[in-house]
Amino acid sequence: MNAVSVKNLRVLLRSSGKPILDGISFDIGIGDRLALIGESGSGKSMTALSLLSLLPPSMKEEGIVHIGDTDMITAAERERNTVRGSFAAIVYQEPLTALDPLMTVGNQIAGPLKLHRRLTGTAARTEVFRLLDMVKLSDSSRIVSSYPYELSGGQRQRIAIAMALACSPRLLIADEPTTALDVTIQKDILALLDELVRDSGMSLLFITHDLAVAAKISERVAIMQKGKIVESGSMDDVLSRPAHPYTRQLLDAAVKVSTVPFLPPDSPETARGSV
Amino acid sequence: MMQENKSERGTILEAVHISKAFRKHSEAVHALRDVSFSLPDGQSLGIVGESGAGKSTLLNIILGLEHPDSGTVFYRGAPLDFHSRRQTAAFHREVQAVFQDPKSSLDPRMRVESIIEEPLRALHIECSYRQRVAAVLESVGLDPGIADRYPHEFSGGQRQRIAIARALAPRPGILVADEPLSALDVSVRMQILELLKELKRQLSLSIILVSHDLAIVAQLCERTIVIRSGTVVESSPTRSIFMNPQNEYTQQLISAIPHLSSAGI
Amino acid sequence: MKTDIRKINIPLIAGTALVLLTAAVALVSCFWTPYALDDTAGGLRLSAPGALHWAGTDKLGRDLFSQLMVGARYAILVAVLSPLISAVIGIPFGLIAATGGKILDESLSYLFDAMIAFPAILLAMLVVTVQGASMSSAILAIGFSSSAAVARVTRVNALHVLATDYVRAARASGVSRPAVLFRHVLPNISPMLFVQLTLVASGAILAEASLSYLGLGSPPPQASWGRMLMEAQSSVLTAPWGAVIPGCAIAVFVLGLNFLGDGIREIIDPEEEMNE
Repeated sequence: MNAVSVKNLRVLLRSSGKPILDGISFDIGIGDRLALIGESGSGKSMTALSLLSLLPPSMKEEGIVHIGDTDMITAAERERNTVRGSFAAIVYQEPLTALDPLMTVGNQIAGPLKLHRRLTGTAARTEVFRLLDMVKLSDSSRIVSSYPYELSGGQRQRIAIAMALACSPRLLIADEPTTALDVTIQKDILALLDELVRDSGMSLLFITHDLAVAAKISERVAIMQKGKIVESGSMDDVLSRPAHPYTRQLLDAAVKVSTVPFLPPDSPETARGSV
Repeated sequence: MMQENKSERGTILEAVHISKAFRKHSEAVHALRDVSFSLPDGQSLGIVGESGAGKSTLLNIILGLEHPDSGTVFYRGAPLDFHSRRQTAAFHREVQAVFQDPKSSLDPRMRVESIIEEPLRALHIECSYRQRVAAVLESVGLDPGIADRYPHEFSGGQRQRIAIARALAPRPGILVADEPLSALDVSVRMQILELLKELKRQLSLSIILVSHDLAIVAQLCERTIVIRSGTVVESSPTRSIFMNPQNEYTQQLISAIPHLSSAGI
Repeated sequence: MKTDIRKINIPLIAGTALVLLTAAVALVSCFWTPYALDDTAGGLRLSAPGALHWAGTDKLGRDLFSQLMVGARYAILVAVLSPLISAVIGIPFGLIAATGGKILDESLSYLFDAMIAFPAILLAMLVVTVQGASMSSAILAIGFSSSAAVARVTRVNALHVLATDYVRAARASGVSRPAVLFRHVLPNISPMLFVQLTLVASGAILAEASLSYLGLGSPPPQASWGRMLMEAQSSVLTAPWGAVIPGCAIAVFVLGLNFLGDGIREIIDPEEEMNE
């Protein structure tokens, strides 16, 4: 059994039949990671929604999507609901909108704990603190009674991760989790994700438009363009010997954008040599 | 400070001891504490630091959108006074801005040509608006024929080009850019970065670039200041910042630049 | 490809149709009605709808259908003029509240809230008692009492627009504050204002009907639907159509205005979704 097994997934707009995803296939084994790279319009975020069958009614899914051993497209809604949150969890790009502005952080994290693990009262509270600890948020007693708007972007994203991990999922889907964050915070969150995923043996699907970020967290990569996967393989192979012109274009851009002109080319801080 | 003749030093824009505080939940939060910098003629300046009130507030003050609690901004040697119509007009003709989010920095109900014409009208610049719009669209790599379309018809990268075109319309000498690349995908980011470099060269633009990304700043700016928690922790030529960072925070920023390297995190 | 039924803006079509129907009837009434308004020659009182009198007659023998047609004229007048008055008063105050600084904003907001809390009918009655009952004083009163709601909607939407990046960009490029109001704020809040004004219009019709019912609206021979209701009151059990028919006319027109508002809102919102 794989954590994720996707075969020929197509997502179409019901009204026009236009394909948003046009035959995507990939697998993620238990404990493995995959980075899905795509820019705006590539359909990458649709992929995340589609895996958990969270697409809006205006769209139609075709193909085979297995999360664990559940076939998400044909399964009943009840079965799918057990997958969401407990087997698979998502962390989104914008923590401010992913968190309920009217609930304290503590109550929000306690939500999935009550729903999936039936924890209440003291047991729930202990678990909330444990999770906040896991995502390395210090000053947890203050944070637990804070509202999202009172916290920084990095703190909010850690909370979103804590919520995702509340039910010890086997699969974590991270959809542009660091894109809205500053460079220094981005680095910290990436390190956190890497450590958490490694320690728990979870599988990770990391979706981003930033090849440099993806390279730091995953050893396998798939490049998406206009709803199709145009290249995939090990990160090292794809970065050193990109086969598809789009991959080369992305790589070229990523290198140019992160080049610092003064530093000598072989210092540890500089960009990798060009392809 | 006041005795020096600034125009002799060739400084067009200078900020001196700028401070500003906000009240947040009845607590005073200092967005800026005694921030100073100068923009030498012909050079570009990077303002680097994490997201938060600091950098944006500084930008707003420079652009006249907010007033500092204390401190002065000097424009061509004279203190900037936004009550003076003449000085304000002269200032805006020379200093224009580009903002972070291309999706929200263009009025959705205005056509591209009206958007680009707007500074020309506001500053009573005499020229053929149509020709200027066409010229400026071309200079940012867009087809002049798009002038009668609406912003939502374009992608993020194209909209950012339109925003740059608008800023260039009054022929400014100084372009203030607030995280102009952060909201863009990487390959578009590269294109706009190349565009900014090209424009800087062709038009002899001075760019004041606010960014949390040191690599971009390094490619565009000769001088850099680093702001942390509202204070300037470093202010030097960009090269020195990288070769010889004085401050631990600066070092953190440098090592946080996501490079494609074979090493892990 | 088959036309998707979900894509057709039903409220807009229905609303426009109903409103245009009323307007058409009103227009026609200027040139022709089946009978003159004060024609009681037939002598038939409280007669049921039939071939001679399509909507029946009232207690004085006057043709109800003719009254209905003329009533449409007043309905249109009210529906156009009341929102106009509330806009002329409300929009400037809303803009002042949005741009005038904290103290002015707070004081004006309290004023708006107070006016909205005050029952509109009472306010209207107050104005009418001072001015004397007539169609114009009714329209004025209703327009005035709706202006606070318009001011509030203006204020909220103006604040929203003033906080956008494009306004920030305009100010940064040298555009003056008044120019920002005219070139950016007003065009961007217009759709929401339009929706609000259709609501004011439909509320105005109901308010005028209530005023007329209370005898504070247009005096005879001006035949507004509300007055028709009032006059049918005494015979409502024996000749119910006298009340039902103008009642339906009011309901249909108000429904049309509300649909129109919904339809316009549907045009605004999907456009915002497209901006993804």
